[in-house]
Amino acid sequence: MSEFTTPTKEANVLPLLEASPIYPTSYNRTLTAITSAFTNIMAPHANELPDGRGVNSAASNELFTVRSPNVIYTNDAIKSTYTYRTTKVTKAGNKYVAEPLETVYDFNVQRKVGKVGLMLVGWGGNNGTTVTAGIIANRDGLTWETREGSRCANYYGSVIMGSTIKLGNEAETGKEIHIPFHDILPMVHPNDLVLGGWDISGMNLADAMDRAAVLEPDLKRQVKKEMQNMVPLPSVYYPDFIAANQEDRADNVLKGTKEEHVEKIRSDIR
Amino acid sequence: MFPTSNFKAEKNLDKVIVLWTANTERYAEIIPGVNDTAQNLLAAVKAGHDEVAPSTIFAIACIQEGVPFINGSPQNTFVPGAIELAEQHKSFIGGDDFKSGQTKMKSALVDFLVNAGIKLTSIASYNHLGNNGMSPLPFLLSVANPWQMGEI
Repeated sequence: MSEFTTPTKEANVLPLLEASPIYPTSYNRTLTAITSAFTNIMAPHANELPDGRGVNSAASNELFTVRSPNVIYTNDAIKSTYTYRTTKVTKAGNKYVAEPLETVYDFNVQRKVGKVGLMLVGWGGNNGTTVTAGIIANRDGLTWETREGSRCANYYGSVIMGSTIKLGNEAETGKEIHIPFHDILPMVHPNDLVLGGWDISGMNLADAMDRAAVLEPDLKRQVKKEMQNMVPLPSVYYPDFIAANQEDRADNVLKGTKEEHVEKIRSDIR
Repeated sequence: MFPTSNFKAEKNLDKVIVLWTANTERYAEIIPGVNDTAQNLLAAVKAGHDEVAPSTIFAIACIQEGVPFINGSPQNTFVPGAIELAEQHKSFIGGDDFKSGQTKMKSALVDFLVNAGIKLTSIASYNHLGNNGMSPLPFLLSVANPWQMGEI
């Protein structure tokens, strides 16, 4: 334990799970958030988590810290060392020689998530339009009517947003401690993603959402205005590589050479 | 969220991630001297070689920009030359299918049930987002060199 670097002050806003068998009052709400992870996830925006953790405040956003000689916290990063052990086998005549093989990995996880952009290739397709509308619906906490009743936005369909992971056992009671999967490492909340992308069809995202025919009319109505302003950048189209039924919609394609295409995509991202 | 040509700068972003969610492509042929090494792949792009797929163009651009590129379609975007290029730039690439899990689970369950002596009357899968999930199939069946799409 001698190599362990004391976490920064910000990292200590939550007591270490191992070290604090008796939780102070301020921790109880967090514990509630852990045991009812879905309530936590239902929060429309990462900034409004029940325990007040902000989305981009680096260390203060972390639900737990690791106390291990293999993990060091700095202001900017979580540095961890992991040894991957396998067995290397070589053939020697009719027999084998097995020898342990160790590969040491050094992980450097940035603690500040920052402002993250997600660029989708095929933004105007079924996936692109549906995920865009889904993020808007979650971000704005939308509710819409369907034949079966009203529905509200959630991330239950996402493994990372909708599931929990066992962190370990509480030393005193042996009770299993589960945390939202999303809190295992500093991660961007999907509501905070800035969306963009390319498509070989120049149709705006609202019309493309209609073309996809996936979402309920009352939901589409509510996200339409914002999505009308989203228009994909021209994309790379080599007809030989994709199905011929895409030809009709390919009205937003890059001209020029393959080398120019690489340069254009790089400039689009930059 | 207007169409921009300098996304990161105009949106004042710290990071950008690129995700391929477009149509599944046919496999690119692996040709020595064309896409087997990073150097050859870049030369093939320069020469406008036919076997450089659109997804590989995106991957190369992302690798050179140091931006993570995630592939969501079952295709060989990451030809050996693209992987080598990513290693050279220490740039992150990954992914080979959004929903291969369903197919794999179905295959495993069918095998288990048949071995248990249970006769299947129907195998049903969900059609991803409803509408044209299987639309590449006519193309798949029509080309001389069929796609190597893995399990269907």
